[in-house]
Amino acid sequence: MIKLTNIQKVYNPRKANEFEALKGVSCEIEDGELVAIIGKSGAGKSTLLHILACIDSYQSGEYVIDDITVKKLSEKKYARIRNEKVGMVMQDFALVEDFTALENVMIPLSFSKKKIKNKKQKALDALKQVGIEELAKKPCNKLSGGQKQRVAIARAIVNEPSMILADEPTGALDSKTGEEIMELFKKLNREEGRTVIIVTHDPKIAEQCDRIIEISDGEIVKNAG
Amino acid sequence: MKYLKYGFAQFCRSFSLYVIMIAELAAIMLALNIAIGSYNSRNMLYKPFEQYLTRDGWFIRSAGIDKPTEAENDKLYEIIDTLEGEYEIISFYSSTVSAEAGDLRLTIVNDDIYNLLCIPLEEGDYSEAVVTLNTDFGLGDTVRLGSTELKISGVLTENTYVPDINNYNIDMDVTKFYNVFQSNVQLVQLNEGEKPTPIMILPQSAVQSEIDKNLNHGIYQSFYRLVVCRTELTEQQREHNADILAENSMEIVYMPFSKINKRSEIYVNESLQKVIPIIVCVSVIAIFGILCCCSINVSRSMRNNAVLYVCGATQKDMRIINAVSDFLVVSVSLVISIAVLKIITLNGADNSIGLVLGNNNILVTTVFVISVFIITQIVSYLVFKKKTIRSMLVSGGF
Ligand SMILES: Nc1ncnc2c1ncn2[C@@H]1O[C@H](COP(=O)(O)OP(=O)(O)OP(=O)(O)O)[C@@H](O)[C@H]1O
Ligand SMILES: [Mg+2]
Repeated sequence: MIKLTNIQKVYNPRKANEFEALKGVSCEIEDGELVAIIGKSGAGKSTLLHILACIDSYQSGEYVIDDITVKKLSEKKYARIRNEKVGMVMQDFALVEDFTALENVMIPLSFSKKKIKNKKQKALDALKQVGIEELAKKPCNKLSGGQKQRVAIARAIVNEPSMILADEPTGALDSKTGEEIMELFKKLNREEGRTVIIVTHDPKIAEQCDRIIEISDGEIVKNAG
Repeated sequence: MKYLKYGFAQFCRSFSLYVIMIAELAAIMLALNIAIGSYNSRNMLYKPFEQYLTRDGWFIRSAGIDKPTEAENDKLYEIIDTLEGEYEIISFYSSTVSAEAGDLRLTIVNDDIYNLLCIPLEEGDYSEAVVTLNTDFGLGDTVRLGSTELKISGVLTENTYVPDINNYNIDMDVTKFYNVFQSNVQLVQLNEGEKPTPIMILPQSAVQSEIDKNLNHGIYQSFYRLVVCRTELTEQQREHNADILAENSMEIVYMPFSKINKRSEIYVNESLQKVIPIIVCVSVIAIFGILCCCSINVSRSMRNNAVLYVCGATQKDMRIINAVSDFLVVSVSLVISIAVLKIITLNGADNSIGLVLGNNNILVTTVFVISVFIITQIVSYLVFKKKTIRSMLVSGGF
């Protein structure tokens, strides 16, 4: 479960270009929910997602994930949450382009602190789950957008995180491929019970989620199922 | 393991960029080593004589072109006796021995000098006696001088130096205490097909008894002597001595060590003084290049490293991966320069161009490699410092 209380995020604090991107955001997301975050460009959606993914810090408030309070943790503990608790999918896929699909999916396994027996098999299983097992050996720069996003999703789920965060995962894809990717997220949510949080501009995508959280100017203005 | 894997991946990815850096680094290291090598080749000639040249003393002989007579030698010693201070008189001895393999010329030098000789050897060591490179005498062979058996423990390289204190020159420096020896060329004009007589260099203590017995009967003393003052002199005593020698300038030819030493030091340092400015310039340019390459590279790998970060790597992991990749660059350059130096030495070209590679080459190269590596790490640190992971993720990778 995720609980955010009054999260405030200021970029470049105490500088000329200081900007308050989140102005006290509070919400709770239960395990197994499929949530969409929508809002205008610049509203603070990505900022929120980065905080959830432990990629960025925040100034005040409280963020609790599975009973761990994410504040002032050591480098290592942050890394461990990123590695084990969240899987991140980005609009531009964020793949290492010259690595193969398999190598990309192996990355979270390489940095895992857990003892994992057959890393390669585990990565192949993840690729199978997103339906591109046969592309394992292909370098990512030879893949189509949809295929790349599948690799990114396989990488996000390979460590079996409880939460998958996706920042406009269909933004760079055509609508049909976007649809397929969305089906994949739904499947991960329904069949495996993973929490999925999707930032999107697309109302059609948002409609398919259990709940829609709308952000405007760094504040939650709508939070409804 | 993962560091090596991702570091190596980064190294391969940026190889095209690294090529410039590797070439620059290898070139500097090579230049550096050649400079040191040429310094070494000069310093090695100076070292055995330094112990005398830095004291009061003279390079001296009786006047006259021919071999000094007994009387002339006695006169020389007489003059030395009137000098202030206590003196050690050093001369070299020479002889020729005939063995089955042919004639061998002996150059007998005093032990203090012999022990400091470090002219490169083709094989073996200086433990007993060394010979010039030739086909007739080899490692382990023995020859007899009187009743003393002499064993060859080392063989000098082609193009080598043989100590000899019979060369006098108005611009006397330490090089005049040596003859250059090549197995197929000699200062003396040879007949067709004739080879110069090989030379054995050996310490005086090994044949002292033979010298005592056979002086002037097969064993000959050098015309010149090194007269070394073993006591400290005052300025007055020095002047007094200079006056005495000047008064006797009809009887003797001499040159004070201080003069020889000054020229020798110039000779030794000349090679460095010539190349150091060049090396400094090249290094400055190259280090600037390295800084650029390194910062471009760090920026280019930034996105990929940020991807690793999102997947659970720490900032420290990212730094280590960068360091591994930089380390590979420096190592490859090092390997290239070592390979080139190896090729030079394997062909014996190092001797013909007067290079002597020693421990100081290793030391300086190591220091250089470590400093370059540290520079690359500082650059990475500075580039990384200002960046947030988010900005790295959107930075243009490739
Ligand atoms: N590093 C930064 N420094 C200053 N301001 C920033 C920084 N990053 C983001 N912002 C600002 O914070 C606000 C929220 O940014 P964020 O990326 O979260 O928006 P978003 O809702 O994801 O928008 P989009 O739909 O365009 O992706 C924006 O106004 C943006 O300009
Ligand atoms: Mg965004």
